[in-house]
Amino acid sequence: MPRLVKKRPLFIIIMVIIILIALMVVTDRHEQAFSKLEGAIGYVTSPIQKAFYTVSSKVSNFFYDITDNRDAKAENEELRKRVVVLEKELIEKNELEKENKRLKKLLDFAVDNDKMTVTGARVIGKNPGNWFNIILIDKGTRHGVDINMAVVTERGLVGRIFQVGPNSAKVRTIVDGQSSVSGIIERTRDNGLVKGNNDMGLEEGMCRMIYLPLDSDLKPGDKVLTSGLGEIFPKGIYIGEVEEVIEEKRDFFKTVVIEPGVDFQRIEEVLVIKADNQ
Amino acid sequence: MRVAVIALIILVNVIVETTLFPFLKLNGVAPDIMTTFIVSFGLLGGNPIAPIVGLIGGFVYDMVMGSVLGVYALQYMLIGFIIGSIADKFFIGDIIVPMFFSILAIFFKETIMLIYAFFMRLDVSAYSILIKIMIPKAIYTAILMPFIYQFMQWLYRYKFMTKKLYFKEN
Repeated sequence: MPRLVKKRPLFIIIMVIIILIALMVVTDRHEQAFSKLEGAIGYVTSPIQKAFYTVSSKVSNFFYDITDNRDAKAENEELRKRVVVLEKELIEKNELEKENKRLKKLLDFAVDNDKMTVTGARVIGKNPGNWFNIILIDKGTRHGVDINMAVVTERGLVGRIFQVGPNSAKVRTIVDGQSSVSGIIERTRDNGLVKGNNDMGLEEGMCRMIYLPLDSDLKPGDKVLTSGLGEIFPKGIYIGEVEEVIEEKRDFFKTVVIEPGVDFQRIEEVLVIKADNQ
Repeated sequence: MRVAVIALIILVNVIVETTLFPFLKLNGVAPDIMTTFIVSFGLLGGNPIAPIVGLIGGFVYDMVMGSVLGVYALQYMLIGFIIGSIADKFFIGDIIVPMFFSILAIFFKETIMLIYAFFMRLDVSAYSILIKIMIPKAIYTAILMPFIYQFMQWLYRYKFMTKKLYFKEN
């Protein structure tokens, strides 16, 4: 002990390192462990972040706009939006039809339309690093937002809320390395697990769907939806499109690379699904 | 006064990094301004101010945008401590040495993240991280380092910044 006291700076640093590692373990296992403290910090920073993010986003969009031909871009953007809306409608319709047929066949009762209680939120911050893909939104417990609620945009699934304060919440996006979502291939009905890949793998900003059966007939372009297993994400939310099918001889399962429907670089507004009354 | 200045630096840093920098990414990589400040505190203020600023700054960053508490706090505190411990052994000019330390700090920080990713069982490739994250981030951060270091040198001309703190040796 006297030697430790003599080398006090190092001793203090080692003690702090141990405390920080313990804190990491605790907060990894119990995501809400320090939510009040985080909420208090978020209470101070979120209004400033909101203002900064809005300005930064507008400035970024301005420079993005002037690099392109404005008219062509606007028209292109309009058509893309239309395609996205139509594709989404088509997928939803197909999903409903399939669900209807299955349930009618089995239980002979009609299926209600999907109805979800949602609240709009604005993105007010992002983790700029490459290790975590986390976004901050401007809605919290005061607006009825709670942990494990799904977050979506018109383009598909964004992620789930994993920490929430009074006026803000952190969303772990589906491309985060620690994210996993139960997914289903729309065409073949094969189930698998959609894992985030951060920016670190060979496929930047993509997801991987693992544990797909070896006999599944998967093709690039197949749509991937949430399967509803795990009870966090409602069934039938669009996740993305199969980009590549990977079949290694040594593996017992197939893996596919998925391009998410959501553009995480330009995300500004999201919907938080507060209740799923399916 | 010093506490207020440091608190303001940390707050502005966190806000700018989480709001402006996601739009300034080049090839998916944003500079790490917090590292440049911690390195500057290490070079100009030494210990214990650098690890303290690193710990508090990292902790605020963890709370605002982190996945778990303590990851950034650990990285920034260690960067502050190591640079604060060795700073007086070097002749520190205005540009080259601070840039060199900022590069080392980024490599050190990302190595800690790699260890964290290993324990979190994240599917990452060390080679991919070196090529895609470490090297571009180190270059991007090093380019900004002289500007931040100049600002910190200007700040350290004021007496309140150089008031002695202690890691008291018994």
